[in-house]
Amino acid sequence: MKTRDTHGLALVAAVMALALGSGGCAASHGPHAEPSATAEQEKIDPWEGGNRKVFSFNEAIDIHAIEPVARGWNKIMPAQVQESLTNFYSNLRYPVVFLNDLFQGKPGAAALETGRFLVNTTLGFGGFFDPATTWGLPRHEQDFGLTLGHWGLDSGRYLMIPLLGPSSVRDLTGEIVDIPFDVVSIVASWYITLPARAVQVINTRSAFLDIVDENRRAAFDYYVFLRDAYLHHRESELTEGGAPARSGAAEELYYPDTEKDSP
Amino acid sequence: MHPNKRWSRRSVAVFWAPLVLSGVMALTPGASRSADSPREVVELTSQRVLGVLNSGESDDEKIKRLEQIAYSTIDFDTVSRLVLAKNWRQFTPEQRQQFEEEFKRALTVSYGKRIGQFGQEKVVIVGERQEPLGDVTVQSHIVGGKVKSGDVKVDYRLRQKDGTWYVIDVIVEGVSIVSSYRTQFQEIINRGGPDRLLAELRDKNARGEGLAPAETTKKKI
Repeated sequence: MKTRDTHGLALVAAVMALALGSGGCAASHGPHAEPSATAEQEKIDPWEGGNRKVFSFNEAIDIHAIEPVARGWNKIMPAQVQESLTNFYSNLRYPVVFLNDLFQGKPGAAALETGRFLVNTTLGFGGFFDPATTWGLPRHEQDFGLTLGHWGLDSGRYLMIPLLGPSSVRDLTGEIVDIPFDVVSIVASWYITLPARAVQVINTRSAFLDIVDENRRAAFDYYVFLRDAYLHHRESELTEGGAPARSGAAEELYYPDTEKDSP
Repeated sequence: MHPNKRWSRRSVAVFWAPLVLSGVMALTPGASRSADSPREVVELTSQRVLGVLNSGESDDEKIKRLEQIAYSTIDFDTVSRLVLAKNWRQFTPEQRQQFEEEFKRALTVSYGKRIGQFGQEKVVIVGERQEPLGDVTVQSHIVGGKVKSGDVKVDYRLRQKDGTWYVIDVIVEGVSIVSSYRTQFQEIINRGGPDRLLAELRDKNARGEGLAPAETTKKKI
């Protein structure tokens, strides 16, 4: 399962990365499954038909397996334990974050991340605690998908990956490149990696139970909601919360042409 | 209980969720009562929300008061236009009116469940950004509380109308609520025009939260 969300902090981020939310309206209402017709959407999501099938599959897995387990986990595990696990997995992302900082020409950020890793691995007892944040070294996220974006690549076509959720041609490429630098995968044998991943997935999912519920309920078409949320969230990660890179898009969003023919 | 009663109990709009979270931010005791800058609007609203949340009133009463705060802080007229965008032109004045009402209601129905869960969060206003054509975006971080995996970035976009700043969009981790609903509504309008959208909104509202997947999932466990 994707790791970037374990510290993705954001509700939306985790919702998207796990992507195993339920389709609420989307899944249960036939008309919602019809592919969209607008040119803009066809451009970003030409594989909508297949993506929607994968989406339904992911929803089913989540509703029947992952979410129930995550709810149970949430009940029995004290909040501190959940938080510590989140810290632990986040800390293991260090090589990925460090290298991608460097790839993007941010040696300062790479150095800070190194400081974080050293502090949390030692004083934070193997990363289970996060004293670095308290000391003014908050965690930040990086992955090779963002590096590619930083180098000027568009996200490319939207992709719904089985079990992994929303992605894009660019971001999937990034995920694959990041794999060799993922501590959990490279250091341990499968009989450690698999349970470790399972715990990570359940623990992450358990932090977003309410948010996923809320989004499922609020969405008119959860597939479309998720796609929009994923793409915009990635865009904002790329611009680091600043103004959107495509200011034309922002202008269209906040100053749409509604006046013509208007009484 | 009458269904309408049930909805109103759940009534906290999507826009308010972040505002509700902002409640705990009332760490600025001496803040001015008149909110003339965008930042002050966000700060003052947060304080008012906190006041309601920490009052000893019943949930029904709290929600009613939060609703009032939201309706006086958010410019739903502008939000409706932004969400419908070019489709606005296809809507008759009556349809626009209906849309605004139903949309407002859909948001409240969807997001009203969580009122009891807020309170421990802190909101830190980290900056504001002047947008090219006059809007101002107030940037905040929500820390702690239910948010187990770190800070959540929430931006509020405000626009001035008749000398007062109103919230016209809430952007959570880069995801604009206006944009999100615009995309979803666009698809519905493509299929069946304004009537179809209004019908789907009404349908969703009529179903209330009783049919929401979250409820059925919870019952299963």
